[in-house]
Amino acid sequence: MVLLKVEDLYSGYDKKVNILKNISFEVETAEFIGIIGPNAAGKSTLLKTIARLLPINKGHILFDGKDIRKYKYKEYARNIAFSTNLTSYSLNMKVKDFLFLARYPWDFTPYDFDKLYEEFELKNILNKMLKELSSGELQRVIISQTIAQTPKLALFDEPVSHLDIGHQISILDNLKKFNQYYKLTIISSFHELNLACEYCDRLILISCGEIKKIGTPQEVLDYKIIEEVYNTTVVVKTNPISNKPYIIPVPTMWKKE
Amino acid sequence: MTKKIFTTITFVIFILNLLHSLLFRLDLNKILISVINKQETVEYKILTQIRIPRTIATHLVGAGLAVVGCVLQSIFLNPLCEGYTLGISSAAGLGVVVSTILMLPLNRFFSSFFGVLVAMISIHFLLRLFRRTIDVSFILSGVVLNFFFSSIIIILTLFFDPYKTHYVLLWLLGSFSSIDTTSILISCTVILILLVAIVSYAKQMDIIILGKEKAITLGVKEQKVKSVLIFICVVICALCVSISGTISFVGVIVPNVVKSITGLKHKEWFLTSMFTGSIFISLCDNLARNLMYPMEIPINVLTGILGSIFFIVYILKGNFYGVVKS
Repeated sequence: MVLLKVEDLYSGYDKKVNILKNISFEVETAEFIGIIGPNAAGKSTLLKTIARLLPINKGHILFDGKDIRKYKYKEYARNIAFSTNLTSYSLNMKVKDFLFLARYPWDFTPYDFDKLYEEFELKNILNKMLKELSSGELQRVIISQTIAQTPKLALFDEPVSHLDIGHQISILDNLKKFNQYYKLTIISSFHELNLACEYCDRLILISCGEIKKIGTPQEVLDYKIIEEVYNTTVVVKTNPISNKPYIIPVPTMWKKE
Repeated sequence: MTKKIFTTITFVIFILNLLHSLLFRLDLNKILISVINKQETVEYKILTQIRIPRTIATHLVGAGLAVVGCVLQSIFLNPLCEGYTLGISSAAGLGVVVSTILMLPLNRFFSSFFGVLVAMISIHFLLRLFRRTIDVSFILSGVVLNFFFSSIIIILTLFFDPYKTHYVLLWLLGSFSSIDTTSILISCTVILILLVAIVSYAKQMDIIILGKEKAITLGVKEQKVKSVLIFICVVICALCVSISGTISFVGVIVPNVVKSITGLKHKEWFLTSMFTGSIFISLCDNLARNLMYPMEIPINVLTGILGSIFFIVYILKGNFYGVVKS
């Protein structure tokens, strides 16, 4: 079933300047989609446009067959959640209070928070302030809040950048679990191509505001496309464990021939 | 533990202070007798027509100023915001001074309200003109505005009849003495209603401080809530100025001290700040009346001195976490 349908989308931070041009794709229920692309390609812009944070200049986005501009605020928040960084002012909040706010769109109807605490191993940090957490813990809390919002579609903007590999894997494992068992549809942007290919069902490669390629990791991570978009030399191998493509960047000093 | 101590101490101060501000230098026996005999003695009149309105006014102005501080701090995400530092109070003061000089047939509330309104609208259009939004530089521009309006007030009072403007100047320094019972009661009812309105937005404020993006994607109409709350804050500020002149600093001290006890849960924070602010202002008013009796010290002086000492102790103790760097 098609959950999200983006058709001929033009959008940007301003009504006059289009950062995204001619974007069209579809997302099925329970898919894990990765958005990859170089810096300033429009990854965040795409996520924010889907989250209704930026104006749509042309084209439209349909969620569940209905134009996203026609949803009411709370109704939209019940369907789509967006995970971002917090203001430093709000870091004086307790973890528990912060997580509780996820139920605002549902008018604070009961929710099984204990299960959430268990899944994300939050028991020990519940009564801490957000500012007392390490960046790995903070990221875990922010992501678990997005899950507690119980949306149909969750958007993540580089959820694991600037974390160590242990935290990266544990957070993405959790997301994958929710994706597989609870049929949560996820769209997430990535800097780390190898992680994106391990976890995502399909990848969208964006370059200069336009879609370069959509498809399974095997289709998208072709060395010709990657070299062209990222303007660097790479070698693509296969990960022996998952059989997914694995990218090794090649420093210029090795390019002899 | 700190919560318990804090609550007990504030309650004790609240009761003592309340009794003091109502019954100070009055003979309790005479009042009781006059209540029982239904006679209108001088003491009885003082109690009902001066003391009670003044006590209500001090408490509500304190509550209003403190909670306006809380709201503005959370909206602009800056622990130094309040009605005074953002220039709202001085704009209201300017409104009153102008209407006094021009002898406009407006009472104090409307003139202060128009002062603020004119100031806000002109700032809004100036920002539009220069294509700037009110965000980062807001506190700085507020400080500038504050100086600007205060200077204009002083220029105006220098150029016009000093007899006419003298009492306005004294009142601007903060004083509850020039009180007219009916208008006070009306203003106080309005403040009370607006305070209730602010508390009803507490949950939305919890979400709004997370940032614009998070607020919208959690289903809060962020812009609308912010504008409504700013409007309410401006009205409360204008009312407070019209009752007691510009009282500075309360809106910074009280919210920050209270925040270190309640944490950033807005409902608790708002309510506790209101309570603490009302006690603080009432206490300052009592001191202002008694320290140099029978002369009254401008209340602004007292809040300044008491507040800064208290605040510095607080910062040094390390309980202060208003200014955060993550």
